[in-house]
Amino acid sequence: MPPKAQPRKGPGFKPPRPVKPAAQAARPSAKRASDTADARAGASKKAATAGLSFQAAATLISSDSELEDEESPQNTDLDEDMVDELSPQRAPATTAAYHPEEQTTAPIPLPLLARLLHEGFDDKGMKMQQGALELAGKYMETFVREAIARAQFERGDADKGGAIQDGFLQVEDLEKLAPQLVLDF
Amino acid sequence: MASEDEAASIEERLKSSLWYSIGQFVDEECLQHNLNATPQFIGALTEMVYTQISNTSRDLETFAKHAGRKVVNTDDVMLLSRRNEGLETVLRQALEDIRAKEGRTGEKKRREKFATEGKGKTKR
Repeated sequence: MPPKAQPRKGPGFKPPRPVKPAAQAARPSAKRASDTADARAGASKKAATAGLSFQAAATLISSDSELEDEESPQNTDLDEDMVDELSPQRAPATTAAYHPEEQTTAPIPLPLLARLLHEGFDDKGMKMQQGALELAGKYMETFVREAIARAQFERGDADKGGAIQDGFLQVEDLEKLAPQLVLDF
Repeated sequence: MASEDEAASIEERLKSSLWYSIGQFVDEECLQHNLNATPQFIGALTEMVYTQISNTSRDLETFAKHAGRKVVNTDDVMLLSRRNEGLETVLRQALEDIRAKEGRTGEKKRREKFATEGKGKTKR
């Protein structure tokens, strides 16, 4: 049987790379610098969440923030929206107060999933039914749960093999399970 | 050029948001199973989920277009599980739950509608 060497046209799997130097990181933070003061504070908080250290760049950039003041309004709107969504939730996450009953829902909030799905549509007029979105949420939840469960399984195998038993899920566990997982979904 | 930059930064922000949500979920799962996950694991998982969502949205769009619709249905989402029976049962169960939920609210509306219609008929 000849192999079907027709790869999908979707974006490829990009493993995480080290954070780029400040020269590249300066761009998004410059946009943030043009926001209102509270949004700026929230934005740097968000950058910290994502593990990208923009803080150093933000101080550099504040001098030429006037240049970036003519930023398109929808862009700043979006930024503030996301900050609003993220910053209030961040506080309870870092403190010791943990409320499991709040968190036992889907890994991806439905509004975010809807946004991501619409981002992937070629035809921007495409719509989704509410039920379809909820079902897609279940699909992605199953995907993430399965990924974690299989990673746990891989870790169990690796720990049996010897070495350190710290129980930390590693990227290599994910690398081992990814091909089969993607085939299954 | 500028729009390219903008698109890249929007994608970056969406990924950050996804990263945060996935991180929360992984932390919660790890607490329940007495595990730990490296930040790199969460990052890689985020990339994988992001790619999966992109592929899924292409699929859903194609399915809906094939059916001659401009709206994605639950049937299109069910088609995602066509190669995996276990997944199909999970999704079918979820679909029934969603239908039941919708049915309850829908039935209420229908009953109200029926009641008002009934009043109209008795008046006549």
